[in-house]
Amino acid sequence: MRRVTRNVDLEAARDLLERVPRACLAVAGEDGPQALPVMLAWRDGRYLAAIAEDAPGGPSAGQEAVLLVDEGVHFLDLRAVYIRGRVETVEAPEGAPSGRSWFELLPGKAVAWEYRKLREVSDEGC
Amino acid sequence: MKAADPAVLEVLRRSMVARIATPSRNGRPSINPLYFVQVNGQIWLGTVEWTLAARNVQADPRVRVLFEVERDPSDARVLRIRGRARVARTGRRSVRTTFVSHASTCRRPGESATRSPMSGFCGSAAGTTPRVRRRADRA
Repeated sequence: MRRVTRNVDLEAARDLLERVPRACLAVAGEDGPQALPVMLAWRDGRYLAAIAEDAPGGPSAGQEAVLLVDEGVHFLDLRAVYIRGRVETVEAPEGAPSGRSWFELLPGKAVAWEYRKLREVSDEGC
Repeated sequence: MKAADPAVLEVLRRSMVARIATPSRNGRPSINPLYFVQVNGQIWLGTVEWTLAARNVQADPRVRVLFEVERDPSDARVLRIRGRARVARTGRRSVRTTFVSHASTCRRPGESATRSPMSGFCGSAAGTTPRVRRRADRA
């Protein structure tokens, strides 16, 4: 059985975590999913994300969340890192601007996408 | 803020990629970038029906969608829309039909090399709650 995948090795998308072109976080809320633009700091392998202190729908400690870091506007330029995990509240990293609530995403699953690398693979290879 | 607010329309006009947050059947969050088009007050997001986003919308139509002006990094506005989406099948893959659309939240990810029918998300402008915020700064 073969199928099409856009997945690439996470290491190949490392630059997205270093540059953070765009980042957002999704969590489940009482009235449906929440999506929040976040400030992301990838420090020593830790995913530190911040939202404005007054932002509605922010995550709670221990809550499951998905972090999306992506870039590109044209199809073959689209790349992304998608990380699912749980958030914990943390202190702001040194030098971070004030007025933000900081979280650390403890990753459970991480996937990188690159549409330029769309290809057919066998299920065993996915 | 209304969907027809000039600030909303301005971000939608300049944005190219929507990020749609959806809940799974079990309530787990997900968020995916999709291309979108806005046509006649509706936003259409293009994808194929086997994607997680499409399957989630079929299970629970509640969505939140983010829009940014990707091509202008100096524009820090982020439009956030709350609404309901539905999956509209549009036949065989065709870039044009893929981007069938509606008013605040749509986009097509890859019409990949599959032969699956293309699907689009459609959400009506009515019932959406757009907000324009400043993008969180980069660390």
